[in-house]
Amino acid sequence: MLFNSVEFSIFLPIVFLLYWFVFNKSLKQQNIFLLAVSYFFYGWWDWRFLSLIAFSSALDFYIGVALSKTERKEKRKLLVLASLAVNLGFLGFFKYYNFFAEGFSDAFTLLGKSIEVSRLNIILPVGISFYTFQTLSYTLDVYNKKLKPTKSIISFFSFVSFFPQLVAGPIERASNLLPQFYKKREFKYKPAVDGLRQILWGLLKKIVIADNCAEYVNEVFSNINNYPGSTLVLAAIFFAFQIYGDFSGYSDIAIGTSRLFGFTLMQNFSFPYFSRDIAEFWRRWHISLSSWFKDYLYIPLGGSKNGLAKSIRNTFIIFIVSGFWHGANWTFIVWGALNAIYILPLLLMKKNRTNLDTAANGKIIPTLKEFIQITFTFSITVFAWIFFRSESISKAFKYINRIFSKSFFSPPKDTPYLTLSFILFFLICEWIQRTKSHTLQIDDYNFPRYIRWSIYWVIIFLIVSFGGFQQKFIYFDF
Amino acid sequence: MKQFLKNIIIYGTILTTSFTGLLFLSNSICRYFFKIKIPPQKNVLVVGTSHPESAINDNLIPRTKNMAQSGTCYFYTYIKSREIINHNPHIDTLVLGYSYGDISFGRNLWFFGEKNIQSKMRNYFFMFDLDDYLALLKGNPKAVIVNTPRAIINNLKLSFTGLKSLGGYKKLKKDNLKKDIIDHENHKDFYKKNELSKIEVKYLLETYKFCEKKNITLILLNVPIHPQLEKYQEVFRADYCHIAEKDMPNALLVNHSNFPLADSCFSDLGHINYKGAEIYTKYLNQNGYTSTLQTCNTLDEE
Repeated sequence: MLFNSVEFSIFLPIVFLLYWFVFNKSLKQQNIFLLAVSYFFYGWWDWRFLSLIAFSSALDFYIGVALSKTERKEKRKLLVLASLAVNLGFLGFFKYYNFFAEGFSDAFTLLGKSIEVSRLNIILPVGISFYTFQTLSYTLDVYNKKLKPTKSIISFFSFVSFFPQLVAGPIERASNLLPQFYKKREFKYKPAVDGLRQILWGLLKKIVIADNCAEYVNEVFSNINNYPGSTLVLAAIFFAFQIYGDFSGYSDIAIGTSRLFGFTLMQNFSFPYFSRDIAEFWRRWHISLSSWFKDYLYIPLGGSKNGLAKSIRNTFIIFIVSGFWHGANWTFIVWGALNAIYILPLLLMKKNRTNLDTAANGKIIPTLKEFIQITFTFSITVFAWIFFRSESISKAFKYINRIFSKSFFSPPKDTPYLTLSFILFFLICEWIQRTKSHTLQIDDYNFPRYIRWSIYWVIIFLIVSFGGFQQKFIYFDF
Repeated sequence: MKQFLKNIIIYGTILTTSFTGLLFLSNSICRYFFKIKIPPQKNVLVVGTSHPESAINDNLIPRTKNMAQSGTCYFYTYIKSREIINHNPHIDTLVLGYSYGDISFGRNLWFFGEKNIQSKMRNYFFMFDLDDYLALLKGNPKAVIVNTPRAIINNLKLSFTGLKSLGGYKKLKKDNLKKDIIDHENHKDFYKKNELSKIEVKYLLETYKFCEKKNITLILLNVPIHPQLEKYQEVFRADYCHIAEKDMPNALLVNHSNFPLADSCFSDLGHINYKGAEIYTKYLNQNGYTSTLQTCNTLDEE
């Protein structure tokens, strides 16, 4: 069930009313109801994979219980390894089997021997990369004694399958989300209204920005030879806004929906395209995944504490693994590696934690220096997105070659000016609100009701009148 | 919670009322400003899909106005013909471009496919009567409800753009013939004989009835297509002929699908390019649309 579908617009109000009016008598009722509707939500896409979530949840729940009962190091290690092996095993099987099988076959071909490797014709269970990481965070935190294992199986199952963030994040830490399932939720007016606003802005990002950009991007990326270099640059920029609108839009809807049910999820995007360097960009883009890798991979590897060389090594590892997490394709690995290369000069100059505040903090417009920094960071990000969007490395290079050809100097073809104007409008709104947790957080302004309602009206009007053709969320494939 | 729900209900009501009001307002504006008149010397109206759209260059044929448009199913063709003819009483001939596959089951998607509703409905909304809207609503309620508010802005846009939004000659320059031949070879299954599209047949017959009522000559014209595609579409011919013969006895069936053109005159299998359009339109201008008038029986004798 897509957040931008008619089905979800029927599902959400029904679930909301039942949750607060019928199943609000006790914590147990609330959690059981959430579990049931979350499984329904997931099953709407493909009920067969519900067993996978159920199995994964059961395994980590019982491993958590077992971890609480033993202090023996070997046994604890064995338990956590079992969780890692099974969860990553599922992920590897569904997501990476064909990639490795082909790589294996190619390697033998290079050595002069050809071997036949059979490909598996399987579909990727939607959201597997997200909920796998979420359950793993629980087991790893319990293993590291940062979190007490839960005794409530219903709470744990509800935590793993919580429908707003089940299929595309934010990847919640057990330490943040799980305790929220221990307390009976009470309806609070302000967070609910703010949640609705965040949903509205998320829908605008997805339907008006991302889906409109997608039409142009898909056309240009599949017909590279028909367009001059200048158009290819424009399409790459459009893709930057497509993926941002698509993914951060999903996160906004997820966070907003959770607030309607009395939950608080972590912020997943914090206006990343206003970053002044690439390190800042990665502190603002897909925060839940970046911090996951930082906590469970970068720091266990030694982080930045064992000298510059190891810090660089660890940075490359997390970026390449992060690229690979996105999909079984070399394009994602190159995209990850490219971002690691971008961050390298900052590490060498020890300037990777320079820009910790917001750009042009306390000012309306940025200084010239900030503007140049933001433009440069955005440009190199767009360049990396070309690899992310391309179907193969060779196609990405073909795309880049064509950009740097004579045709770069001819005017762009078939420019969608309307979409361009939406992007501009969107950027202005995001710039004004860049210090807030989401763009439509307007409580501070104390607008009278008619102004607030007019703002919502304009946004809804834009969504229903100018939405692009409904596209699947990009991150559903990851 | 009470306050929350109360506000939601009030806001929902305001939203629905304002959108409905705007929809009616923009519809009225569009009906008032839309320039639906076509020049009085043009008494032949061409409608249909991308085949006639790219085949008849109406700059080269003085009495004809080409209003065909790609991806238009018979439902929209009927609505467009009805509206234009009602506002232009000097039109005495309607040329409806056809290919035998027009009534195949797959064409249902042209009527209620989500993408088609999104791209087509908003342009025709101001011409809909209640029956048209309900027919479409019945076909795909979800897509129709979602796309109805889009007509608000589109109606205003149409007021400025006028007839060209509804079709016109399209000069094709691209050369996709070789690729298209391979693609069609790989998708032969599409041309398997199957049941007919009831909805397409219904609106084909509605168009015929409308022409009969208005005393307008209806010419069903199969414009030139590549011989390869003609071969594929052969499976649908009998059905089309049967309907034409049985239910549209006064319509003139003209088959120019095998009009001799070199490969260089084709943009792809189903569409002739601007060179082909020039040759073909000049032929029509000299010989008229019905010079090689054929019935289904004569087609069988070929």
